Amino acid sequence: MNTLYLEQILFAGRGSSLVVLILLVVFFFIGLRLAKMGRPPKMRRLPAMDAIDEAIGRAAEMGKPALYTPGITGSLASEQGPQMVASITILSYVAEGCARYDVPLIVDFAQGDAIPLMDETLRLAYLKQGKPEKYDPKMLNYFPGQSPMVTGILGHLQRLRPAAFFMIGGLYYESVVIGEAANFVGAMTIGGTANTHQLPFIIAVCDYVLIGEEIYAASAYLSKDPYQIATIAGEDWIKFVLMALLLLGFILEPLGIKYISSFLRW
Amino acid sequence: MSSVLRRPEIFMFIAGVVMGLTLFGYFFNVPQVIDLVTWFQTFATHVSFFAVWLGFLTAARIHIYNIQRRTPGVWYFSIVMFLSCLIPFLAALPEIAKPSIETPIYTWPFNWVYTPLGAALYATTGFYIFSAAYRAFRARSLEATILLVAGCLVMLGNAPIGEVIWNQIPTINDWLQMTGQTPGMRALNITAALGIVYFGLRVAIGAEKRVTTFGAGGG
Repeated sequence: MNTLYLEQILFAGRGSSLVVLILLVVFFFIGLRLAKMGRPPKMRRLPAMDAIDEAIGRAAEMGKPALYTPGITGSLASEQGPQMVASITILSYVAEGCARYDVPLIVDFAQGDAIPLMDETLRLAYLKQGKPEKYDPKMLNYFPGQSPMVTGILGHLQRLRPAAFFMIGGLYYESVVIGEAANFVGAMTIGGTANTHQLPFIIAVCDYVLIGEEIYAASAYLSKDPYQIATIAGEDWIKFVLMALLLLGFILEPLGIKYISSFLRW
Repeated sequence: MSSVLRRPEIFMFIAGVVMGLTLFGYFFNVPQVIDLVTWFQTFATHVSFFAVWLGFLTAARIHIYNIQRRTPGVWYFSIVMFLSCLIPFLAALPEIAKPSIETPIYTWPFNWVYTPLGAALYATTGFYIFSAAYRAFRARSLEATILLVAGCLVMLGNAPIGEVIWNQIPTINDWLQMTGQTPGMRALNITAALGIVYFGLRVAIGAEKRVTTFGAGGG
């Protein structure tokens, strides 16, 4: 494929994204390579992830349930789908912890197409802890929409008074309502979303927060496996590259050197 | 055969191929690939439609159990849930081929029960925000004090009284929202997008174990 042909078939304005994507893939495999060479990249701590075990332990000590919700999110096929899948990976970890310490788990959600996935995830989590008989499909509470889900969660919070409350996923206005209600009942709250418009509310109402991309890194981080952690280290490296690019643009553009802006528009 | 189909490698192979082609179709103008990607997207919509049915059946299993066993405090809600699903569905069946369903038994509960109840619930959000703001805005540290001052200025900037108190408050509000907040939000959006790409890559190579083992007998 010569350069002229590449220019012809490449959509205008997407060239710089392609370069960043290639860099992402390169960093991804560098991280993997380093892990295989016995020098896994260091991963910064995510306090909210470390707090999951503490929240489950708290529920076990108090003899109270844990409540989990992935928020309203959207269908698995929507643009919010990755948040839903990421949330289910965290749910898998939470369910394993609850199974280990016999903490009753309640999962409230509003995505009809995610029911089979959640059912399977919880079943496997209990199976993995050697307690398949403890899994009850009635742990899953499906609410057909945002408002019914908010009402249902408010009801569960008031009646069951959970000691641990997790809301991780594509959250909308419900985050402030249910997060604050969880505070009223004294639950330890862990929240997280990639919906930036809801982050201020989640930070205000939750004890621990997963900000933006951290929810996608959850599964690898929680595994404590150097090989998996290596696959998320590149995320931080590419951020440094983008910051350098911004800084360069900040310096060069006022001087009339338009390389950076031309590259970004390519 | 069933055990072969449940192998994580098959899941990874399909995810990798679909992801690669979708990315290729996004960046390059190759009509054959774009057509294939469009087909994948239509296929995903159809699969999610069946997943909704599967979801209904899973939920129905729980509610039928509740009704059969007369689970205390729950079984009558299960009947309501069942009827709420079945009645609109059966009512809409004769019009299923039309572009929009206009049967009153289908539209009336949605327009005059569901929507007003949702709006009523949404209206309570203000009280929760007030309560959350009361806790978040306590000046316990330097950062919390900056947040408190910025929050007060933005509130005053958005209310007519702000301009009456000092005519520069709306200007400060605009600066805080456009110059202060927008870059922060954009930075978060960029990092979230990077997170999605990495998540996709991990799924494609099978490093995202909790996803690649869905239904494969491991956690």
